[in-house]
Amino acid sequence: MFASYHTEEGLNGQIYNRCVGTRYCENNCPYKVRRFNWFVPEWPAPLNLQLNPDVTVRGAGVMEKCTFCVQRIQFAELNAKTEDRQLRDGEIVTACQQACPTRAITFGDSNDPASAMMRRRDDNKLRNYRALEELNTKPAITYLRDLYREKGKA
Amino acid sequence: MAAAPKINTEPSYRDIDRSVLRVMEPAGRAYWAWIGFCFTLVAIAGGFWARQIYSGLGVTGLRQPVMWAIYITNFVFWVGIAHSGTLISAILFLFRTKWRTAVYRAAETMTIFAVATAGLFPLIHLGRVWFFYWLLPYPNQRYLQPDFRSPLVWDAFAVSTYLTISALFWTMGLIPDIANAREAATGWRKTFYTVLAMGWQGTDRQWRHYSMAYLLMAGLATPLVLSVHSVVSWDFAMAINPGWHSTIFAPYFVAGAIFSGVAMVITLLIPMRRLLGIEDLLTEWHFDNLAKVVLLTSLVVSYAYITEAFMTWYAGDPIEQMTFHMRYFGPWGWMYWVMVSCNCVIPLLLFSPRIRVNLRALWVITIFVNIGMWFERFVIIAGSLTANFEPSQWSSYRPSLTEIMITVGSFAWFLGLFSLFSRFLPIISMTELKEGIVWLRKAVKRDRVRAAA
Amino acid sequence: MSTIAIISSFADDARCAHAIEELRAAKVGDFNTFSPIPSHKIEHAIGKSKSPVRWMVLMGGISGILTGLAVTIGTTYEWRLNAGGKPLLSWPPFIIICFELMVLLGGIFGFLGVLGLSGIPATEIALGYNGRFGEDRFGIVVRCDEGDAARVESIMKESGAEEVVREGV
Repeated sequence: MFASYHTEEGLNGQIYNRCVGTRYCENNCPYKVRRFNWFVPEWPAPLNLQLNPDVTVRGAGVMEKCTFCVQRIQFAELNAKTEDRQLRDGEIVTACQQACPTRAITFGDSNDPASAMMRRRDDNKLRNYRALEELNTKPAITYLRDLYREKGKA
Repeated sequence: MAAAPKINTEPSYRDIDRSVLRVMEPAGRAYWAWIGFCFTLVAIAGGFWARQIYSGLGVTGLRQPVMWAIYITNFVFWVGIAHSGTLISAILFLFRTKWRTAVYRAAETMTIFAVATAGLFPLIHLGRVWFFYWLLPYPNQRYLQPDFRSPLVWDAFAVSTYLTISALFWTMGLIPDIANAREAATGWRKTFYTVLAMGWQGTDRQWRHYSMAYLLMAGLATPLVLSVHSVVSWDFAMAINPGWHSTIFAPYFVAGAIFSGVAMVITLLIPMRRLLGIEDLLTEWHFDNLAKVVLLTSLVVSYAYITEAFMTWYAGDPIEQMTFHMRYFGPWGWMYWVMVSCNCVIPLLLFSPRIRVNLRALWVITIFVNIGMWFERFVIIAGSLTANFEPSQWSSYRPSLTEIMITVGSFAWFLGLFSLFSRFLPIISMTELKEGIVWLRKAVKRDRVRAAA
Repeated sequence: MSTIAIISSFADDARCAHAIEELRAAKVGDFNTFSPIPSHKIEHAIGKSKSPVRWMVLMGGISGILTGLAVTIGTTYEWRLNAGGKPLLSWPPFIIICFELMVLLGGIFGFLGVLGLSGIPATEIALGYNGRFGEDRFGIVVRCDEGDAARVESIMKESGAEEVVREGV
């Protein structure tokens, strides 16, 4: 059904309303980042106020995952389109990026070597890595390794 | 049921008809109690399923990251059981095997009902079962189409084709036999069989087309049966999971399917032969040969286990090695060793010709094989999911009452349907038994000589 | 002269086949046989060509492959979805779908072919049919002119018929 597929933008998309819940995607996910709605979700007041109006309401029997805040991506893309221009670097800010107090997360276009994300990645060539890269899943996330000095070494 | 008239050592066509048709006489109270018992269990399981649909899959024991467990185990188990029927009815037909004639109808019936049981599990396990029709490729107003790259879609095609083709093949074989039943029956049964026989009269014109089509259907069913379990195995082999991602899976699963299926045929036939009084048609010769198939496939399965272990060691992938270490010595290690004892060690007893024809021993051995093969699927499916790449995501699994009751219900559903069939339609092919009557006579004679000795 | 039917029954297919050969050599009337099992001997004696149902199975198989291609390619083109930059048409999975549909339609065509060619479902009972022919007797029913009846009867008896009955049509 293509509920779960790689979009043209390289996003590992999950389209909830196409999902029938075979849960095959979670079996195949080496990172096990997907989460399944085991029950009909309930939001007793006042928790219902925290629901994001930009995001589809979840239902039972559907697999979910992080989509890099696809609603924010769409919003920024539509803005750029109405203003008839290219997307600017840094225009899309994911929720985790926005909330992170240490600014550890950068989001950007990996096809543009000048983007803040690519610059940050390339400036740290010695300490960047991707999780489970050896599986050839070509993940979009690059992590930067913590730097420390081992005892007894220069 | 009247006492079984003893067949002499030279059974005639008429003796065969009498023995088979006697089974189809009206059944007693014990039979209907058994049928009622089976379908009560099915109804209970249906209730559990309804509750699961209503409240969500959380009522199962499934938890992150174990997304597939007992339901898919049952699916693979029942599809596997189905395979021996087509092996016996189609592949051995092409090989002109003599002993298949008496057992093939029962085995093929088992196939139909096992596939019908298996086919329920992909539905039962769906998160949103009310949208299952989205998996069908047809022009629709949603403009959505299935992804043909997904092994689950191949599976849907393979299993539904398998069910249709084996049902057609089975129906074809039944037509001349039902015509025989029509001649013997009275009352409403006569009407029932007259409609089902569709006017079969055994004319040369009918037989001429029938024989050709039967041969070709067997020719089509042969690659089909091998493809179905290969496709089922690709559900796993196409995934990247350690413990699943292996090229050996297709032949390994096909061998396992035939192994468990033939064991199930024996498990069903031994009590059935006694209960229905058809000891004279199902001789030691038949069981001896069935047991040989079990032994052979047991050795193939053992070889696959060894190859799997060797490949894991030789390939040197640490995560794969970890998964297999967990499989052998982890918290569920006992299941693996139950499986090895049931599938590899106990069937070795069948090397003894005396055990092969000792029906009590044979029955116990095949029960062990059934248990072992169920555990094999569970170990592969759920076991491989509990622990793989990300240690932070390791978990375990414990089946819930819902899953257990639905599993029990699936056995009741299968046994109930099979029992219903066995008293209403000819459980042994009279036509084919008559064709191979020379061999039956030899087998009966051999049994008599042995009994006298 | 009126047409009559001569119904003879045989205990085994060898005698039955012999009678058919004699009957064909004598060229009297047309006949129909009944047997409890499909017999190669009788089939050879009648000497008809192989059943055309095999062409139906072939047609079914070919149309299954074509349906498979139509379904897979058609749905992919109806919904051109770029999935991770992979080519739109993935041939290896399409082969599986084509194979399954080949078997499916081949089988269905074969089954319907048998029904159609052998006149099933039949509501009429063929002339001379008797329940014993489904059980353990091989029967030949000859329709011939009354004048040839004696010859037919002697052929049947010489071939070893157990019973020869004359019946008006």
